[in-house]
Amino acid sequence: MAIVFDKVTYKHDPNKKKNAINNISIEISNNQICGIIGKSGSGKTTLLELIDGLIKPQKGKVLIDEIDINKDKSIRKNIGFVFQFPEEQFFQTSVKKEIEFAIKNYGIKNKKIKDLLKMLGLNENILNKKLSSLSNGERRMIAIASILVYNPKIILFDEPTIGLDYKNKSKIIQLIKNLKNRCNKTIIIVSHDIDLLYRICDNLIILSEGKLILYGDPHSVYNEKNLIDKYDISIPKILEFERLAKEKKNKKLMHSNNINDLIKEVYRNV
Amino acid sequence: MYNLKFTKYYNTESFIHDINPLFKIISLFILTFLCLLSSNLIFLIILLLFLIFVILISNVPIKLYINNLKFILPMVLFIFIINIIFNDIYNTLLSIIKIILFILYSQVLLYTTKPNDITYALELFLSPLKIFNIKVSNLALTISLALRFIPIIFTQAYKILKAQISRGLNFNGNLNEKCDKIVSVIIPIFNLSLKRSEEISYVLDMRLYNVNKKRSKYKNWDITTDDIEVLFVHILLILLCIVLEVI
Repeated sequence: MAIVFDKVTYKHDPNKKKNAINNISIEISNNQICGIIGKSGSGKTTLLELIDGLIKPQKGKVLIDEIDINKDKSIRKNIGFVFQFPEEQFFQTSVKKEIEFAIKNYGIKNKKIKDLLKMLGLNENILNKKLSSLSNGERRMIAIASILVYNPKIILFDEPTIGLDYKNKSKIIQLIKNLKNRCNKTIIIVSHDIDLLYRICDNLIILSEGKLILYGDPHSVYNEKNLIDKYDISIPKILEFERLAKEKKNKKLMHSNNINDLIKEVYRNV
Repeated sequence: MYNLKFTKYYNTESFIHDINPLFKIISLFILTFLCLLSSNLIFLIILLLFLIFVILISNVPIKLYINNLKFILPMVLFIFIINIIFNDIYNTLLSIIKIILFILYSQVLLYTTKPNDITYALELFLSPLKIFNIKVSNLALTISLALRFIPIIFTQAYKILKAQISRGLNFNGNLNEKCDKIVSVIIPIFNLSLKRSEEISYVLDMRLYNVNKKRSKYKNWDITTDDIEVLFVHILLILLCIVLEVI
């Protein structure tokens, strides 16, 4: 499902001048991973909330498959939103009830909760446990499961890996990749982990104070060095290494997307 | 939801803003007392004029005060109906003026004083109760914590509501279903506030908060001539009340 922003402007407080989102027009096409980068307060989470129709823009339209989300809320069935620290937003007592909440609301009959748990690497027994007895990593997984259970076509992740250990982090990254490749989902990720976004995203959106600065594939986005420096956007470590190698040792390394290629490239040069 | 204002404090500069909060509380106390005691229409009208003067020099937009009066309209109507049935018109008018006076004067206090300063003043104001072995500083802390808690609970409720709406919650259906859905928002908030209060008690412990020890203040209010003037005006009002009642 494609997402289109048509000159969207949004203010948190209508009486104030500052726009949280300032006249943004983007088209995010189907079946891709799109990352949103920006400093705190640049409007990243607001952008996700606009896609889910949780807030209504003062100007412009947000179209999901050419349908305005604010006019036809039934399209929300196709969107899943994994909030920041979703484990703090549980409102049921048991795991089973929490996962079944969305199914009941949308009246979905064909439920495959057990398959879903297997996909997330969780044991079936977890369904009978209480939410308060789970570890942080498990809770995050349950939160994701409660979104995936109604099989949304667009999934929005707000800081999915924040506060997790390395093992759980790589589990979630693998899951996101699988969702895109095997299940053909459109995925939008907000994160401060730039290395992660640079590695897995097909497109990057860079925001600053509610304005769209850059939009495109990671390589082309980070080629705009002037803009990146002007808005003080942090650079992925791989690119920073390339830049330093060129500046200090005067060696031009081939561009590489992952760390293994970079190491090979360094060996070749030394 | 982002526009909700939890404290009424209106940030500006004025003569009233600079007055020691303790004197403001004493003034409010005196005025309430006078309102309750006096049954003289002329005196109440004088008080009303005095109040309008105070509102004008408080530098807070008059629109805000009028908006607040709209909220108490149902209450005023209720008092009006009850009084009309059991009393005459003169007394009805008196009680309505008294209510408006009290509400407006407390609004002046709330608009011109920060919540923290109010608790500071309350602590001083109630300090004579120490004779009866009541821990006034505890009371003040409880009030300020309660004030701080309201926005936290609201933002959390909003978060939980958002999580539910994004997962297909809508408030359609019959009354029974609606109640069920509202309960699913309220229960986690209760849970959360219990958890939060436990956390706050840990934090207080960690920062070596001790009720029994004497604590110093971040901001100490000096008594200025302005404060004395304000108190003097209120004492004049008391005298005026006595004179009018006797005559």
